[in-house]
Amino acid sequence: MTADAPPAVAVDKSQDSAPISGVRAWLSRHPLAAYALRRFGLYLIELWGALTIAFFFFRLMPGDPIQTLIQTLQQNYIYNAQASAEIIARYKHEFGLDGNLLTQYVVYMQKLVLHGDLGPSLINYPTPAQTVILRALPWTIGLLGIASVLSWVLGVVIGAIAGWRRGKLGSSIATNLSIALSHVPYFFVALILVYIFAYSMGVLPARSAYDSNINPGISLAFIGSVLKYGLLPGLSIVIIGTFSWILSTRMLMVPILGEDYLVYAEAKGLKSWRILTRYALRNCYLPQITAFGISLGFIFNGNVLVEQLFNYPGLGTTLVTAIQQLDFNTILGVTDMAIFSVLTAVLLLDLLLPLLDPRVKYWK
Amino acid sequence: MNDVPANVLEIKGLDVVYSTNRGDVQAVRGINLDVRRGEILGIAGESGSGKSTLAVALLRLLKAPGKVTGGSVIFNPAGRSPVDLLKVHGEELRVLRWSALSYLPQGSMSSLNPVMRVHDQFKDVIVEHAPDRKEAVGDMIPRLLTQVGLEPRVARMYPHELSGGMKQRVLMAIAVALEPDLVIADEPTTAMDVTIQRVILQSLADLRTDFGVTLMVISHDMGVHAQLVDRVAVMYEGQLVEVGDVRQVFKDPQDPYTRQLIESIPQVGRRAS
Amino acid sequence: MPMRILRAVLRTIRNSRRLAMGLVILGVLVLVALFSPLIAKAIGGGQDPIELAAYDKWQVPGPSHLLGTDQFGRDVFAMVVKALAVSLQIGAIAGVISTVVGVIVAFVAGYKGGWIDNVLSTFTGILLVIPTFPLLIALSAYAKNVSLFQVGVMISIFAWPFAAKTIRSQVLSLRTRPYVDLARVSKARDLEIITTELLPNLLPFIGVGFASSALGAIFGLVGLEIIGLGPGGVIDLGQIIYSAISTGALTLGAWPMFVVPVGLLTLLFAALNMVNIGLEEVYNPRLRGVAGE
Repeated sequence: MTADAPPAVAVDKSQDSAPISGVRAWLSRHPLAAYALRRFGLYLIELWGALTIAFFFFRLMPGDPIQTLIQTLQQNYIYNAQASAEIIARYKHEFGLDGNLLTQYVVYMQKLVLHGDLGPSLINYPTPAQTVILRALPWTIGLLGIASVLSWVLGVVIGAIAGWRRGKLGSSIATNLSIALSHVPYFFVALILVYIFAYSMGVLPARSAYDSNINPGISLAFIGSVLKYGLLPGLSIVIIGTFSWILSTRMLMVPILGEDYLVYAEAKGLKSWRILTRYALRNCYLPQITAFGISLGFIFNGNVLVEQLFNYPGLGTTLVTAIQQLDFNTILGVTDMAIFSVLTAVLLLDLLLPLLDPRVKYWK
Repeated sequence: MNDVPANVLEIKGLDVVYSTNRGDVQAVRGINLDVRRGEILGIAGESGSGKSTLAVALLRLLKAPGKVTGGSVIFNPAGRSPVDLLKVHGEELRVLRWSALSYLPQGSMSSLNPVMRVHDQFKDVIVEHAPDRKEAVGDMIPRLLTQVGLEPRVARMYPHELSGGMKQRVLMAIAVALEPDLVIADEPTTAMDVTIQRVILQSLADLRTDFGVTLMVISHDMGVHAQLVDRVAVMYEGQLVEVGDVRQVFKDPQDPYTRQLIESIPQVGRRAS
Repeated sequence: MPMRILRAVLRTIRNSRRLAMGLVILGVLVLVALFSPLIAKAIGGGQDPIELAAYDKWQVPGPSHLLGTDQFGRDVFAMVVKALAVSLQIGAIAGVISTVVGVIVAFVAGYKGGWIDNVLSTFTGILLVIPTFPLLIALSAYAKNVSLFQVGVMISIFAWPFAAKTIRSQVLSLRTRPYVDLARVSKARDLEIITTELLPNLLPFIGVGFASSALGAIFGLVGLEIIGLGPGGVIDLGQIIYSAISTGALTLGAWPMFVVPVGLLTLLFAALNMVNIGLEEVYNPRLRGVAGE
């Protein structure tokens, strides 16, 4: 298309708009791709917005740990003014504290996006914060991932059955328990579980993630120990999580049970179990997938306290330790990591939904 | 086949009551009605006349606060012993459904499961009631769909991809999939435009010739009865006011209410065939 | 107008036993909190029972100290009563602030619609989805010598989106009701429509917003205290639980330091939760079926 004729400008112009309208046409023919693209765009905006809020929140916070650090440094080198200026400048540079707030922000985002670099951890200097975080991440993903998925599955299944058999004793017990317990904070249950099982009965460990006498590795003893130590923190999340999913699933089930397609399924003479699973459950688990994504951030919040109470070596404990020790890069890093994980999980679920639910519209 | 009883259904003294907090409302009062094998019987009446309650009660889909308070409904499926539909329960009732007694709901209602392909909504009923025909499902579904005038590819579609008329046809094909003795159709043409109504009525008439089913068609529209049914039963305030050959009823209605109903049709229906 | 609102409130309470019961428990707890200075005086018999070294430390529960004394020799019963008052105040402050902010945001977004709604909803949505607790912990850990009110404000920063979300969806559904249209045709002013038509109908949802953000605030602060990162200078129920855990009070026979605050918090939770569910039940028939009639 290298037109050398005089109307080259005009040709260029039409070429300029041709690919755009071509893309438009292609997208309108592929609504799923258009949906995925739009959703991904929204994800980038949300991610950028949330990371920005987090950055400025920590930098503008009263009692800023960075100010405290600089003051400490200045006091330490107070007798050697020249050395102190140099050292402070060097520290400032390494920790990303050069220039004004806006410059710091640009540098921080650049390093984060281009290199996945969160800056050095103060207490583990010169280990970068991302290394500290990645060390803790598997524990949180293991604990939180298993606990939240398990409670979702249990809650949706029990909630659907409770809605299906409403009026029956078992159903009303499950429902009333969920009403009473669904909003109880995880850490509160953790306290009570520790009191009963670790303190009163002494049957389960209340601290750490595995027996320190066992060498970490792929061995039966180690895995068993991880499971045993994870039981109480996991249960704290699963118990309450399950009850809240029971409540919301049952609420979704009640109108579904009055739908025409359920009457039709009954007229068809299908077995109740089949009606429950193929007709009722199938229609109510889909909205719960979206709800699951939305609840992840909330679950992470609760998990921070649970981890800290059990001294579990995950992100929550890392965060609290970092806060206690003014390790600002790690504090912001953990927050960024949590934001990234949650938003990415929500994105993946939203992209998965059209594959599971034929009714999801790809256009607005 | 000689000893197959001439009546598919014998309804005797059927009473249905809805209990409300302001007392009981009797929706169906002492109905006596026979459905003859192989016929198309129409149930006519305005809304609130109890015709839909009758259908729901016969299908045993009546939900609280509705309750059958009296009468019997003897059902004579071919090759099975007669049963009182009001007295069967649980597994016995479940087995009877669809293979002997099937239901054709209004197409505009969301009777098809929105998250299942049409194919699977055929398949589950076949697998449940005729597991021996499981292998034949692949041939059966396209054949059934073709018979109601749909393309076989409809089987791969979801309900929301179908128009109202197409949904009604899918429901028709599912209704006759197991060649039941009796199909109860509830307002099969309501909420459809006139041209589609005509086509659906023709397909309903074809169902009898192709599958040998007996049809009971509930409709408020006297035009539908005029075009489709052999005999018509007119209900008013829960009672049967008139039953008879459709031509006879249209020509010489015995009850003043029937006369009113017929007169309310803009153009007195001409027989379609 | 006030009469209308009052009547709406009374009707709502009459309609739900759960709501009435929650309010009664809450009322009793509030009364105890209000009388906490008198109770403390009665326990101290002239001196301050929660002063450091007022008594011998680690006394087990007995007639002179119903719930024993703590590691500093303070009377646990008096401490718990005072801490209950603090927890309730935090709940009230944070509840009011988050509800007011939530209502304003919800009204502006839900009533005005358009791009304002889009921007506000997206912002609220992000705040609801992302984990904000790290921000709150950090804020709380670095806040020194803050007043009770400041702690309330701090927690409301993170609690208002929940209230806003609940109320916004209701504004949206009410906005399209015929009587609002009617009001809009007959009277022109938005503010009048909001106060006379929308607000009375939204009252239960505002109540839900208040109860849940108060609940969130009380337990949020307890959570911060329990990991030892509560704001300095505020002794709420969580603080007592924290000192019970960190000093090993349970092994010293001082079980009330753990059990009593936990029990009180459970009661407080149950009461606010009952208010919450009760209010929703009255106005959301779908839920009434859920609660098992």
